[in-house]
Amino acid sequence: MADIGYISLVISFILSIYAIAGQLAGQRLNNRNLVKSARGAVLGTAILSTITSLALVYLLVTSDFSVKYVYDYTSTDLPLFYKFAALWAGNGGSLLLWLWVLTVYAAIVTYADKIKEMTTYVSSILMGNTVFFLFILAFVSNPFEKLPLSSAEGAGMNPMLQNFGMVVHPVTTYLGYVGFAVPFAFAMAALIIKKSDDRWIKLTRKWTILAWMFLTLGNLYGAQWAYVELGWGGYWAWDPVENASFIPWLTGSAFLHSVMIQERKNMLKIWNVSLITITYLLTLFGTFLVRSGILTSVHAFGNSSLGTFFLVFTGVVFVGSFWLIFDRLNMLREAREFESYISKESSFLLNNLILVGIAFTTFFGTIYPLIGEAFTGTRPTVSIPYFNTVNAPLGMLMILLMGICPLIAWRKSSGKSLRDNFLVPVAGSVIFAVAAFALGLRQIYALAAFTTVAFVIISTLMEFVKGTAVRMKMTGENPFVALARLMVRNRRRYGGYIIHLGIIMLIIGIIGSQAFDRFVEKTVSPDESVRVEDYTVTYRYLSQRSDGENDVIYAVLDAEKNGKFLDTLKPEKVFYPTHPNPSTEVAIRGSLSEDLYVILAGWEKDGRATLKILVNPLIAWMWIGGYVMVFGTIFALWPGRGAEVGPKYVRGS
Amino acid sequence: MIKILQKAALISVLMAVLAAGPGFLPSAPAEPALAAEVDQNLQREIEENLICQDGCGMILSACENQTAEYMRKIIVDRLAKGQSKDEIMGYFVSIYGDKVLAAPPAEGFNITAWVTPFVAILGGGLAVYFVLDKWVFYAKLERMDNDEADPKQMADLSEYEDKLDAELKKYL
Repeated sequence: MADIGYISLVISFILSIYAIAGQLAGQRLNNRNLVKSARGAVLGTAILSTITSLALVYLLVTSDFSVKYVYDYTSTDLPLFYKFAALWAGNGGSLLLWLWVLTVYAAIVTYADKIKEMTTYVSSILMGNTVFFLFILAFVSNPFEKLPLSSAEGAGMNPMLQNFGMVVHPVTTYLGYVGFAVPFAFAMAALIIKKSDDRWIKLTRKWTILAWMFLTLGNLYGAQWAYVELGWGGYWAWDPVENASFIPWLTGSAFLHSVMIQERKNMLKIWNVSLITITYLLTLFGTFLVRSGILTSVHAFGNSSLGTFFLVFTGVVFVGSFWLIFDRLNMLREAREFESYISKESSFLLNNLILVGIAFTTFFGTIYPLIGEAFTGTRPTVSIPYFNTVNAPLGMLMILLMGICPLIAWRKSSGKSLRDNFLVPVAGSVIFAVAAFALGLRQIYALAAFTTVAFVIISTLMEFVKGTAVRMKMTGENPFVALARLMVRNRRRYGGYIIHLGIIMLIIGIIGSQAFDRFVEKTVSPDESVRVEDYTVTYRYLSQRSDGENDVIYAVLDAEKNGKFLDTLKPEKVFYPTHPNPSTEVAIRGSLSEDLYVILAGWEKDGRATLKILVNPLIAWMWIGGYVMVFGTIFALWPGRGAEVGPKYVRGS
Repeated sequence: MIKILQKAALISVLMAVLAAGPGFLPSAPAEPALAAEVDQNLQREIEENLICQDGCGMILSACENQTAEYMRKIIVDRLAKGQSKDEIMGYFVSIYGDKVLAAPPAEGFNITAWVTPFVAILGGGLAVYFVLDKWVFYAKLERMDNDEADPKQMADLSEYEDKLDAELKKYL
């Protein structure tokens, strides 16, 4: 089976080169048969990469330890689910997953053939990426490499990866990463054939939004995994690898907003092409960070030779794409008019400034250890305090803009319309701030942040209320029918608002858990209690059990809130025969208002246990907000009336 | 060498479990810093500003390995002796250097780490302002040209208002 997998890889490599050469030559020579044959090679590559992936899955599931990758990442006692997930637990396998997604995307785009004159170039660019990944897999990081001697047992999967969040996190992240390759390829193809209109943007809108949605989910699942598996009560550590997927998410978000100006006003063409290029480059750079081991990271795969290949490839794509953009600058310069300083399009410019600003700050902070080392000789550490300090004010500005943008009209907002539109949200948020202060909220940053959030919620909900009221007036429908039809017939717009509300829920979770978390660490004897505000956690006893080959030590705790029994909690430490360090399994009693989060930190031979107890307020809203964002994305993308772009606002249209 | 020691430690723990039979609990993987009568919020604040020094790269409050526990014990001991946050942070810097800090100190070359993002955003903001100013100016020029060319252009809007109403109804 390993041989089938490897041979498929090598044939795919040859086919993908033919797919590029055949399509480009066929297009130049006007030979349709050659183009058709080369497009068959694109499909062939997708089929072969599917066979390759299935071959590796088969080897993993059947525990064939003659293959090094299977030996390195699985063991016989590993549950079937995790054996399957081991496909992306290591370097070679995760690159194979990337390749598989890329080839399937390439085949879909090639055979959809939506813009005929572009397809050859789009397909060739995607296949160019494919060639790189196939080269890496076939000749640098071969997942089918065999061991000199077959082993009866494997080294096993890293215990920290044995979590549902960690199983879905890489898949969703890769679907997002690779998804951005499609709009990038269309943007480059549009430049190559010298078409400066926005057809490529319209056509790739679904690809871009889906890629963004998957990257959102990828980041969210990563955070959830960190929260339940790392046992420190946090969810985001601004680790270089976490930043590597957050930065393209930011630039992708900026792109999703700035393309609206091109669609409506035929402007920002250079910016949009540059932004999607940067977004795609950042996905490659992120992969370079993960694979190179150049920066210290909890998540890194750490293979320096792979990092060099990724750095070179990123450099080639960077030079090639920006050379093309500079070469076509004249073609991209068209409309240069804004009717007013205060308009929705101006607010989108500010939105882009802040999003790209946060992306730059995060990028700069991530690579600063290398810069600092180059100039001072010692490598500084840049971690949570730096990113929180620098990004917090920018984040606040970003949230504020989310509330302001819907209140401003396209083209121009008059003083009267601004007053009318801002009155209710501003008054509402001031009332909220006074009420919150009166009720005891005295932390100035939290108060400012929650007030900003209140402003955004009111201004966003007002859009629903105003639209419904207008519709009721014009059609006589009841409020529910009017609201439903309003949303369904303007799916793109209201889907966007739903996504904004999801982001606000996520922000509420972040503010709550950052500003109001409580923490107690205590060593307790059996039947001794620890109080954390309204909670009383009573330690009963310590026990052990076997979970397959693993030994589990756990504490039994009774949790009460305001004297009422809540739950019995069992935080654990799991010892693995295949790994030196135990893993922490925290006990979480969650609710919409807060999570009671208990870690078994250690124990004594006399039966005492050391517990770390955290109360994390509002954290559930982070996860709920994430799913609301996904719902909003699907709502906006659903095909049919209302999903298309709004009217153009250009002179003469 | 460290890996061998870790494996040996694990094997000895597991052997002890097997030898003692049910009911015996192995030693904790890393004995936690026993919570003395110290301000735990301050302890956590200090931990959140330090990096574990065994190469894992994790923030101290998030790390559970032996080096992290050792560093935590030092923090608890020093807090119990009445030392301040700055004194304890200074102690760690004297031992490990600035790399133990979770953020570069705002001094010397490291000031660039704190200033650059804001300078870049300020520069970006200025660029956006100038571009916007130019585009608004072009729009004004265009309007003036059109007004000169056709002064009666805006006179009859009723036809456009009807069209607007018809368009609006499509979205309802």
